[in-house]
Amino acid sequence: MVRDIVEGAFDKVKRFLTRFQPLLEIYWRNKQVDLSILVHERLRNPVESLSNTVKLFTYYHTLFNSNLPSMTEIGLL
Amino acid sequence: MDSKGCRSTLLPTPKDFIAKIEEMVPKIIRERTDESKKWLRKALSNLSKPVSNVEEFVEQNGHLVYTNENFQNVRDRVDLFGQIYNTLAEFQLKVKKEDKDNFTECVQQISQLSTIIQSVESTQESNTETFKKTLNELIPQLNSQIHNLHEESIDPIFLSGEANMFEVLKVLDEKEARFKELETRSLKYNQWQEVLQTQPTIFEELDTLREDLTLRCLMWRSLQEWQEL
Repeated sequence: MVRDIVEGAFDKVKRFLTRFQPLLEIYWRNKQVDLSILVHERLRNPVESLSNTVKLFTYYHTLFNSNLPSMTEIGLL
Repeated sequence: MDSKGCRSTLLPTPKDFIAKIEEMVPKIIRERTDESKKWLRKALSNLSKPVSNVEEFVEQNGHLVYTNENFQNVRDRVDLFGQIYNTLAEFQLKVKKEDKDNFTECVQQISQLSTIIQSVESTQESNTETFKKTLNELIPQLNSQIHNLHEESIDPIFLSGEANMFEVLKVLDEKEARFKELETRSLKYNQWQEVLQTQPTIFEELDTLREDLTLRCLMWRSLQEWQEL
């Protein structure tokens, strides 16, 4: 009985943490970005690149806002 | 299970990046607008100078060719800055008023330069004809000066053993300096002829003068060195 409760709690923790993975990957990739490339003289389509980058960050903001969990019940005190 | 800490770290990052873009892009565009303005000011100043002689006309022609070669690039660059400012406005990103004014000034300078180029181009043909005539008068004068110097340089005194070496060397130095000035002028006239699209003149006597003068200078300088030994 206790074992089932603990195992169930660990499963919930695992499921909870899997929600972070794609968001952490986005966060990590964003950290590598060199924004100065957006205004590089030899960039082929600077206007499109700038527009798409701002759109992408706006989308990430919405994604993080809706998908980042604050807390979850795992059935243990 | 609480993940508020993690959420508070990750959540603001996309907005932070947008804020960085908002800070960095206008700053760089301002610097590049200033560079373009500098180029435009210089072009405006070069093409606005009045032309009253062949030298000034040839100089202006050089500026006109250079400006025409590079003007489209500058226009494209400034056009791109405008598009970038529009994109920033589309996403409600801030652009300082002074940056917008700076950009407007740049666009005005482009318009001024276009007008000046048109005006200069419209006078090119008549100026070319006028200065062709002027140059055609200058060339015989130069030929005459070359001839006179040649006559002076082949004076028998320079081949005489009786002549005073120091005096001869002094005279030859002066003639050499005059020759260099004439040679420079002949090259300059040939360049002008190129710009005015006329047949370049061959200053044949200049070559003969060079040979004769060099020979005499060499002989007397060698004699001086020999005496010093």
